[in-house]
Amino acid sequence: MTENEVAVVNVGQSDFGELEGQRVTEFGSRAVREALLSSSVEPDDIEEAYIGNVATTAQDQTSVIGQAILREVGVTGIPIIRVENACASSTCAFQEAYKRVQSGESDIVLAMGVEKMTGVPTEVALKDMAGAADAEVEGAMGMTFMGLYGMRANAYMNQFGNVREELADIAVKNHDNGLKNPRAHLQLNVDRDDILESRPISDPIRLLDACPMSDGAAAAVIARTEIAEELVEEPIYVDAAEMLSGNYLEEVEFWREELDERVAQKAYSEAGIGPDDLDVVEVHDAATIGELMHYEGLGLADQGEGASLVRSGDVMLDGRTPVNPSGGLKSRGHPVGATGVAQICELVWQLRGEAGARQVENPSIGLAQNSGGALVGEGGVSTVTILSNR
Amino acid sequence: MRQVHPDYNESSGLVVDGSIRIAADDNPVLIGTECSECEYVVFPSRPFCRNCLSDNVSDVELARTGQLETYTVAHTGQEGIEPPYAFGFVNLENVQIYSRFTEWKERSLEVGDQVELVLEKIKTDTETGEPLFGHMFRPMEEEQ
Repeated sequence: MTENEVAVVNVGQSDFGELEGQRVTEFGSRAVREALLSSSVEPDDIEEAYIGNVATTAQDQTSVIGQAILREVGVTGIPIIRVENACASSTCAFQEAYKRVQSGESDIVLAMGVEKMTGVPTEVALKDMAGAADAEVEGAMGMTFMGLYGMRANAYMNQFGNVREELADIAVKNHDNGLKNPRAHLQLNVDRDDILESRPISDPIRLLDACPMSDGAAAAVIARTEIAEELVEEPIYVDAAEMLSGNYLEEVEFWREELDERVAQKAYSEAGIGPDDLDVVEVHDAATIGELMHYEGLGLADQGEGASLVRSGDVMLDGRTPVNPSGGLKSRGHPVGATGVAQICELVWQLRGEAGARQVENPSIGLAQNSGGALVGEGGVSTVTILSNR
Repeated sequence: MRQVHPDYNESSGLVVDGSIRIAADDNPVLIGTECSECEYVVFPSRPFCRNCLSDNVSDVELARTGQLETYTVAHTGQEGIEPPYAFGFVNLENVQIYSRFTEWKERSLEVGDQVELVLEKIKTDTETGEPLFGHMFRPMEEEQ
């Protein structure tokens, strides 16, 4: 069977933050509306829709949420399917949409993600999030996600030495980038000392190492390449879309992003490129140590050498391979079900030269890495999506 | 030093049913499942082997001491557990398990530390108000 090539037609994103007073259907439909209005795609042109959503306790609409949101923009009467895979839910929704177009089942498909997390006490939200770990032992016995990052950071520093200051510099970099992103949640002007002196959350992770819990939505319309080229001047091509889960049956080496390594290898092979070819990268920096370990998992740096990319400035906005120009989860925010497609939005804007003050110089290939959940300390899912403007 | 919390008795609730019991020497021991076909060990116990799918499995007592793989101290945690509290992963003889830690304030934790099993209060049952018990590990005294 011949596989169709697939491209992103257009994208849209709501503001990320504490969207007090807005129902999930409101900011969810704003993201879709933007994606539709900025292309010549009519609501009736959408043949299927996939929606990433984890539904925390803060959300009023928990089921048929895709239908409830898409009704607001007149996208009705078609297959609408919710995808849940913790913090990688909307990348997985995007990849399902991609496969439907790739296989020839549909020509134009919508992928989106949405999440409402604010408005409930922090400990309630944390307990809810603990459901994305093993619920029988870990979740029941107090594990938190920042705790998982704390465990990774301690294992990493025991193996490779102290990178505490470089972790702080990653937070500073992402906040600097986020100040240039009007849709970012945490607009903070911070320096290294602010990070190192912020209150401890889960040692050695401090408050300013961690992403916030946010409300927000993001959407992407994708289509068969030939159709995308008719609909927009600059379609952004999907060169790889891969997702894998953890192995779980063996002991975990907490200092290593083994799951990233496996999924990145598959994606590079599918796209026919390597890490040196990347011009812009978005990674899952739910905590600063996450970003540093993703450098290594994605092959941007050798094992134990991730901090060197921070010291050299390679990952800065004007560096060799800018990472998280959007501000990342750290600054843009982390409405868990929406984060993956928000990364896709950023890559599309960057590859079209539409990223404003945070524009990376002339990029042609971008990569987004998105993680979700964990079992026995190993990632639930890691995804890698590679886009280009050819 | 005693390894079972003084409030624990036979009618006490466990966070994970059947995961721990008091051995003949009055000390706690974790119960896992070992496969008779492939020798794979899993914790907590399971009705069949996740490695080879055989149901020719039996209870196995896990090692009471192990090595600290990694840890963290949470200063903001789950509802119902008073912070700060420590947790991490422990490598026992043939299985790696998640655990909370106790006595980490007195003897600070380091990756690679030898740790030993104790039976402790984990949290309060939000419905009954009664404590729920389970496994924790604590750093061992260094041998002189």
